[in-house]
Amino acid sequence: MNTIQFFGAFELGLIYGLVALGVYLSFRVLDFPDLTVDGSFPLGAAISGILIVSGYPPLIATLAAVVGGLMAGVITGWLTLRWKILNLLASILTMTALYSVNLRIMGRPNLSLLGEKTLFSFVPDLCSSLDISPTFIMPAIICLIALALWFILFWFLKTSFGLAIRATGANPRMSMAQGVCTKTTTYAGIAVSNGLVALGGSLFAQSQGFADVTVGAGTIIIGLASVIIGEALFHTRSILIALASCLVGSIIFRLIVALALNASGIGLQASDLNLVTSLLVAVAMIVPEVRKKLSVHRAKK
Amino acid sequence: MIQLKKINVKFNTGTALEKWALRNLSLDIFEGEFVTVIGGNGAGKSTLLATLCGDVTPLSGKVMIDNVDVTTRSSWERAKWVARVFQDPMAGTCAQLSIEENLALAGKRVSGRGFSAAILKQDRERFREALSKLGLNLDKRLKDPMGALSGGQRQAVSLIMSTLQPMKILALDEHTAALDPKTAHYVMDLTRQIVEDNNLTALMVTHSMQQALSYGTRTVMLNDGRIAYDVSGQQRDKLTTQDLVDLFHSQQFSGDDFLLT
Repeated sequence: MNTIQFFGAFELGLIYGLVALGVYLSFRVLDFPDLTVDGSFPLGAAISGILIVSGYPPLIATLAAVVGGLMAGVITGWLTLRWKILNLLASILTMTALYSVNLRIMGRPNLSLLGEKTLFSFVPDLCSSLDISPTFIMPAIICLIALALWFILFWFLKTSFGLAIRATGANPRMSMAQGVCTKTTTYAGIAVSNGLVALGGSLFAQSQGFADVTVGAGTIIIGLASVIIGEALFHTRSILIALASCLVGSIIFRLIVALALNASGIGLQASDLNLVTSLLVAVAMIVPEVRKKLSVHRAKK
Repeated sequence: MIQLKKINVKFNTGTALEKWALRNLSLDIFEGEFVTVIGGNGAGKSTLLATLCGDVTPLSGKVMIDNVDVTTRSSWERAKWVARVFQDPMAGTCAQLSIEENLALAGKRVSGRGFSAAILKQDRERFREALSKLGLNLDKRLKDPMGALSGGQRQAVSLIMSTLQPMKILALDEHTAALDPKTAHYVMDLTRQIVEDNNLTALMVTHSMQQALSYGTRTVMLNDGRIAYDVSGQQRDKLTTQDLVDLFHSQQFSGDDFLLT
């Protein structure tokens, strides 16, 4: 792996770090297995892609993507909270519908953003004036965005409302007894989660220079893998560190993938990514079970 | 005043397991009363509490809190008036959250939640002071996870949590049933102290005849979804556990129609 590949993986890891933060919020904080993200990631890319191509300012396009993600989350929440559809199924329904919606939004399966004015259009000028390679600048900028969101999300979860969201996931019955409207907190949590993921999709499209409807496939597994890697590295109860571990997990995930794909001799190709990711998540979920079995076994002896 | 008016609750309607849990039950609880509720399995004591707390919506009848009809209000809305301590120590607190976070959650039961920091410095002071009353050294363990505490400690903290905000009634659902006798005794004495110190109105469901008589100011015995016996004041002071046991048995064999009051 050379420097360019390394920083490329680092940058992608930080972008998908936003997905990991979103997945952490739904899966871990709310205990809500939300697969909507496979649709809201490309939704973010599609909304900001089409708006940028149509000449809207990139900041507006990015914010619109976030709003789109929030709405996708609300729809999943509505299906499960209002109509009692199993949360997993509700999110699959939204995700599936979003595939068509994304095609409608873009009007075609993919959009090129090369040469368009994006959030990162200032980077080449900055690089030439500072005489630094864009290889370092882009990851640095994305890193700043990721750190800002890390802190905002931390602040959010530390507010009274954020605490109510955490309690909702941990013990809904107790939360209600303490006057928490668990419907409101679930709506908010799922919406924010998908808003983050859509922002990730928007930044992905703008930094990579394209939006594509198929870019969402496997997003949830990538996010989950990042969360799991992060948890394996940092055993913590601190929200601040747990959120940071999502970002770190995502970067490490990308580095592992880059290593695997670049290592000659293993014979892996880019299309094997989903298989490798699924195996990684499966193994990470199997290991604790095996450990439990082993300790029971030992205790019997 | 808390009023339950002609409450009817039926479970498993239309199935072979159909059961009337409460039958035309009326109960007025006056301010400052500490009512203990007793009865056999399936007598309806848990359903009574669940109806008060909003977990169960009655088929007919009304639940009034200070003349506000709350019959159709959900449990989180009723938290404004009703503070609860659950039977299972795990149910009433969040194991993953820290002690201070649990307290902070309960500290907003009535006032609602916004986007200010959940725990401020003055909150910590308040929590420490409240916990120090327990004498369990928990005031030095604010950051520990709730899950690290024993069942008795968790019930004690649950009681403290309930007192952080004003309430119309404290609902105690067999909150010592999962504890060993010594711890149960400690939690009961703490309950009495908290109720007396804060002049609370309380409704306690219990399956211990001794608890039902030794604590509180009024005892209600349920049988088959109805109030079979309701005693307070001097008459209650004279009552022994044995009397209550005899009453209890006389009802078990007397069928549905026999009422003592």
